[in-house]
Amino acid sequence: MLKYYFRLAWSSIRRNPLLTMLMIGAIALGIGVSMTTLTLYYVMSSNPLPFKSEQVYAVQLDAWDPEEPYYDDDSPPPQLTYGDAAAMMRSDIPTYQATMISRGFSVKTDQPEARPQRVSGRATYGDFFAMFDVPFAYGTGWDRAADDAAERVVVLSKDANEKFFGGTNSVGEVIYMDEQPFRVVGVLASWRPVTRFYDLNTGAFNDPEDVYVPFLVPISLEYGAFGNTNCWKPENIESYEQFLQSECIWVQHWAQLDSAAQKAEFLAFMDGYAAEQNALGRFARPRNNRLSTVTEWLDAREVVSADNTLLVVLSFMFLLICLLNTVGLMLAKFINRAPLVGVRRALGASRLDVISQHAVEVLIVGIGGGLVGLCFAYLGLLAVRSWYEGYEYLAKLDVTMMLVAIALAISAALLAGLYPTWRISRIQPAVHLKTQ
Amino acid sequence: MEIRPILSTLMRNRTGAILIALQIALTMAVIINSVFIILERRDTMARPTGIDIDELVITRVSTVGDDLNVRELIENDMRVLRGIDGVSAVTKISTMPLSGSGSSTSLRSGDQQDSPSFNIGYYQGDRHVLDTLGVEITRGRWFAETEIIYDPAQGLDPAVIVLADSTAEAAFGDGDPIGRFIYTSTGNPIEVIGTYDQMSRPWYNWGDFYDTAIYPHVELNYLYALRVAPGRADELVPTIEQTLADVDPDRLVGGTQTMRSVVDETYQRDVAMNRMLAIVMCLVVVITALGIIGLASFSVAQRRRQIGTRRAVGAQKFHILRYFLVENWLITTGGIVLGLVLSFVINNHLVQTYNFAKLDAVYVPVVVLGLWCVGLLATLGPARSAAQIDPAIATRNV
Repeated sequence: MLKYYFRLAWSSIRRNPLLTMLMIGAIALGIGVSMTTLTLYYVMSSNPLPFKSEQVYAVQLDAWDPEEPYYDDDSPPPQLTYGDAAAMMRSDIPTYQATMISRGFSVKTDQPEARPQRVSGRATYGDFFAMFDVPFAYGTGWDRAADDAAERVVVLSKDANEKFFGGTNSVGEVIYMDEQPFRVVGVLASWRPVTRFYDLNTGAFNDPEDVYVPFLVPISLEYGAFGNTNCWKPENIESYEQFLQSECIWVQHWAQLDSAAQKAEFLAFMDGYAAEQNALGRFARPRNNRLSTVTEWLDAREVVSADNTLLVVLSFMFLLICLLNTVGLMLAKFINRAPLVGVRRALGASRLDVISQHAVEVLIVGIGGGLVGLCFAYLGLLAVRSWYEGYEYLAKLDVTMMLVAIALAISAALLAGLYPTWRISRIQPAVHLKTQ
Repeated sequence: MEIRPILSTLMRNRTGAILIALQIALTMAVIINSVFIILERRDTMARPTGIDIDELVITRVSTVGDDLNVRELIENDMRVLRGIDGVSAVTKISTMPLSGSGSSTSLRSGDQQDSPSFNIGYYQGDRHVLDTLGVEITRGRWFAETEIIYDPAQGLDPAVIVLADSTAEAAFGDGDPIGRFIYTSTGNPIEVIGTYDQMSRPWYNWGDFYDTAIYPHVELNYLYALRVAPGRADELVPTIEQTLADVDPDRLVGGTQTMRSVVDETYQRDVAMNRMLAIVMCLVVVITALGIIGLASFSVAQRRRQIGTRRAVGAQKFHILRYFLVENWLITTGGIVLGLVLSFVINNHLVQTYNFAKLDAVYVPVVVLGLWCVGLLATLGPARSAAQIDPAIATRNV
């Protein structure tokens, strides 16, 4: 029977190819536009650390201006002072934890003709790699002893290793960063979280850094951070030492806490530290220390901008318009065929038969619209990639989104076909037979 | 006019009309909100920065080493850069308008703790900032060579400062700012020696766009901004980078780009957003027009015999044409009324949730007119074919 319905649907499509193409086109356009914006939204808001969603936390301490909060909604500042982060590092509660800053370096290899090249760098603790599940191709990170001694060791990203050592195992080699020798201890495998969640200062969707060094290395070189340094307190800062002790916030801090108990314990430690500091005249704001999961952190920092949300809303309104359009076209098409259906009904076809016959046709339109819509979405994302720099990883269709597109197209078509099919199944055979 | 019979026909055959009206309503909501956002972004992007964007190139050198003679290194670089054919002026400056990174601070207009304070974005640079960037001095004077401090100690406050006109107004109102003092948050006085007309902040959207000031400080890691002959910025970028790299092969030269490309990067999101909105808008109009054509053709086909009858009893072609156009106009107008409500509901949500600007009713009549036109044009084809229906058709098949 189904085969017969397909034949009927096919002959109906053939009889009126323009109208069918219009319907498929309308659904495809709707799907194409809404899937383009939805994919962007979906990738931007996806969890960059899915296997540790309840274990890794952004550490926020509120030592900000007692007169006014950092954010209007009273959230604590996104970064820490150097001193507060150092105090956090002294706790042994977290499984892993790391203070970090971003900092560029000028890198040269031993090659005599080599010219210095600019690389982006992250100064952090050795725990960084284990905490964020960063994969290594060669070697490893460094241990706490190297952290404490500010050892001149470096981990290279896959790309940096490609650039400086042609992709070979460079562990043990030496590179010169800002004219100081650093020993390569590890090389990362390909690592590209969609959002650079651990530091949103300089572009949430940028690539991770090229090189990684112990946090205290740039401190010992008296470097500031690339990114934001915010200060609220009028204080005379005339030396690097004074800067480190100032109320300026400029470092990020993350911790891995595996259980609820561990999390509670660390939060208590943070609050205890704040109370201690309060006695010394700091932390004058109401207690407002926070541990946020990666997802909470990205939400609070509005990584997915209002623009993206708005585009999704508008494009789904567009899909709705396309749907209404399809309803109209399908209604026209089905009603046009009413006399034919009248004959079938008079010859004994049940109402269900009529419904099934038309549902098959609706389904074909839906699948066709979905497939063409996928092509439109692909083109749309191609355009988005060319309009935004650094969106290569965002504007990409994955299997999930393709399935979503097809499912959306079919349900859209079924929804659009619902009313016309119902209408055609309700026709009175007699009325249409009379005029034949 | 036969509005009443049209209405009663519509009421008896609601489905098609409702479908079209809903489409028009949604189309209207999409278009009004998109147009509004597009125009608003366009205004943001059109804000003048106060500098000659198309005649500037920036580049960066990083030099590492101890005991460097900062002033000598910089003066040597500047001499080399000025020697490039097509470069007319060079300055060493901490950052550029709209580049996205820079410094801001709060200053007070008096030396008391409760004196009014105001926030500024500030630039630090040498003597050539204004003539390189194309900014005019409006009052007082510019820095003297002796006032420029090379490699200042960390945290050093300047002794003299030049303010933007809008900053001077924020500090002193309409009074003459020259020779007066403003104070840092720790109470150090800075003498105002001059004002310039306009130079925007480094940030896209942070603080008052034009409240800026310039400090007479120069550091080695600042960038060089070069003024180049009109139309030659793009072509000079590689030459500038190469010339600077050749001064000392051990230094890192990078980030050489035209000021135009810096600004383009800053606004890239808005440009892309506007393009997407414009595309969605065009598609919406096309789809809606196609929908109207489809349904109008359908309703013409359904009513062939009634039309034939009307023609047979004396209606002229013009009457048939008018009937369908008026019918469509009624449906479109119904959709527009619904769409107006929807547009404002959506905008209200945007205003409250995302701090978007409130919808300006100025665009509404234009969009309404546009939609009426789209509706009538789309109906024209089917209506004309309806007018061609032969009166004889009514007498057949009875």
